Amino acid sequence: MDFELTDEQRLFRDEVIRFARAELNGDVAARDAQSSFPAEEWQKCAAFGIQGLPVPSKYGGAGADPLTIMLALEALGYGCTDNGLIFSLNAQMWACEMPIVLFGTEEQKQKYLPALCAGTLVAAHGMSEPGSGSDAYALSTTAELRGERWILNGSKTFVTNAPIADLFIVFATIDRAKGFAGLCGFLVERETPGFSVGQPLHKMGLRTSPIGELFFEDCELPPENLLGKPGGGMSVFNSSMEWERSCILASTVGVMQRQLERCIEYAREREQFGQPIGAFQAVSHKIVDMKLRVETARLALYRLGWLMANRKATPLDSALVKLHLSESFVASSLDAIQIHGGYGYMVEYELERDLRDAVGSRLYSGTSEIQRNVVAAFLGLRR
Amino acid sequence: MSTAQKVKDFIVDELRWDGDREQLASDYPLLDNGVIDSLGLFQIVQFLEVECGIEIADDELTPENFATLDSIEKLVDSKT
Repeated sequence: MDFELTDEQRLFRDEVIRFARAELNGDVAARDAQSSFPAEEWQKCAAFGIQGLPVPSKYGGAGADPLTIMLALEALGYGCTDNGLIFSLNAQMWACEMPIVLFGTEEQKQKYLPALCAGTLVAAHGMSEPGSGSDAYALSTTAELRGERWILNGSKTFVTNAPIADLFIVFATIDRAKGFAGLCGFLVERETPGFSVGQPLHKMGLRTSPIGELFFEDCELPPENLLGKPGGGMSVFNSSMEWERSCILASTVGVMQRQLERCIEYAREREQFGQPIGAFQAVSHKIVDMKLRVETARLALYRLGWLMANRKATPLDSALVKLHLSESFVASSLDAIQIHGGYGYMVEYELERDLRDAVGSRLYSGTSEIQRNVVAAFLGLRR
Repeated sequence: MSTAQKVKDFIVDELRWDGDREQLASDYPLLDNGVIDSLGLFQIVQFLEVECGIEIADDELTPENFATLDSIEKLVDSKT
């Protein structure tokens, strides 16, 4: 067992932190207040190589291994205070780029991946519907084959990046009675007739990451827009969810490390009753709990990266990491506010935003309850 | 024991399918009849990978490959 990072990994991590601090943190509080997507910072991330991390070099990416990607995202979370921007990046990488990498035809890869890596194309992933969230395969958007062309009808909601995206990966059923076996994945370009994007939805946190609805009214797609095989949408969707659950919260390990360091500094400087508040166990024990969370989260994440690189990861492993990181992120964000007292509650201290951003992590990519269901099933505890 | 029999035992003993064991004939439609749901499918995949020492790729998780015990056996046989 080797817990040492290589020199190359350490240098890369430090480089990401420097980039994030220098280029991505301009007035994040204002962006959050205005729910404004940081388009310029998105482009900077692309130029740095973030969007291209998991994409093979043949298509304009870096083809990085899972652990290196996790390190980069952890560093991004540590250096960049805009969790919404990082969330949008993750949404594109895991639920849009990876499905094309793994299931796309050569033409689809050539057409979309280089532009996604370059930041000139933004992508979104539509699965959730008003009537199907955790029960994802109960979706009602239909795909009907007329001649050679697919006709889509239905709607999607909670689609991250929808208001700004150019390309959408969406899922529809060719036969609702077949459940997950009737699922198909499609690539839909924004200007496709019969397809429209609703107004942005407003949410509690991650406000710099736009979210919205999609509508399909006899939306006609050519056969080459099918992603994967007919009825093979489940494997496309599941594969992207596995990547997403594994990687989407890697940045929170960096955020929790940043929160920890801020709290230690504050607890050493802030004095009450004639001594630093860190001398009170009520405060120091909270900080110890924060330390414990970030260390266990990091270990679980890196272990998963190793399992993925060695093709040994199972849904149980990714569900455990998603569950632990999201719950830890919420708990540490609450502790950071409590340690800072009234100041922590103020917007200008930029701690309350982390908490608002953290709450969503227990909901997206499968709720904490769904992650527990997955783990329970793999422990033989179903039904 | 054949792969089909092992998977049948797994469905009954581990996935705790509450139907009649004898109903699970080798050509019984597993997906159409709700014997395997999406989570159960991944449990079967993990079982096969460990039990048979094979690797099942993401794009092999198709309805055709997991439609019946016969089709699962055929998939495993193609890898061994």
